[in-house]
Amino acid sequence: MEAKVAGIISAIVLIGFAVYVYIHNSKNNEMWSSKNEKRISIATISDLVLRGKTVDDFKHTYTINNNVYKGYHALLGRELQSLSYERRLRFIGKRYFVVYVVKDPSYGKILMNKPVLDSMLVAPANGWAKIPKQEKYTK
Amino acid sequence: MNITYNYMSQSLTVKTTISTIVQYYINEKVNGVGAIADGFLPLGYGDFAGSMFDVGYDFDPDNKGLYSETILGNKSMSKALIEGTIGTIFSLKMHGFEKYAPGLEKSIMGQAAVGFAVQFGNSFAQKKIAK
Repeated sequence: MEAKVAGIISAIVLIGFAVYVYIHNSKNNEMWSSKNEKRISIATISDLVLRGKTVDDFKHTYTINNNVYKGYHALLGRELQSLSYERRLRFIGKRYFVVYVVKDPSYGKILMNKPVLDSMLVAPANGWAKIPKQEKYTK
Repeated sequence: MNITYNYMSQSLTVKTTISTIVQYYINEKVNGVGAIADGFLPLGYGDFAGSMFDVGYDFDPDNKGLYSETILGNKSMSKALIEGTIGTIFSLKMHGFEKYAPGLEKSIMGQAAVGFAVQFGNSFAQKKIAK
């Protein structure tokens, strides 16, 4: 009897979880759809988060209108995965452009192929409409 | 057709559910293949299947939602084998506790407790070894 109840509860939880994933995915797609305005800002990689049983993440933070947002960028792809732990740590502190949804800036994607070359470049409070032209600056 | 929702299938559903919840809680992403394999494959096979075929859903808005990192694509075989081996060793050690608590895994609640411990411990061990 106990096993039957636990089995039924588990099945309900799994179905509920599948529905939650579907709703989450639909909202994610809706937020990133072309009808929502996006802007550009600068994100700083603040941590390397090691995950058990799945891909690791870079934690990054960015500030929009004085509010700090955080995101996790999954290290998908052979190039990033093949890096040693020490080499991954070297990404911490580096800055990259991030695209965010104006309606809800917690929806942000760090652009790992667009590093901020100019160390003096500061993002405006409400970001840029497009990636600004950079002058390479060396300290 | 006579479909019997027997003790075996109930226990498998519980294991899959536990794996899903713990992964979501710890990682904010769920390796669906790993969760199903944890429930439906024998000890060891599930860990290797989950590490070789990391296909699931990432809840962070930075990522695309559904993701796939498999040995047929970007994942290196060596990384998958290391993850699978760590998972198997940890699962075997945890299941060894039954020696000290006979009948523990005969009850669904006991299985749930062991399942949670295995999942948490496995993730913790994988993180430590990745360093």
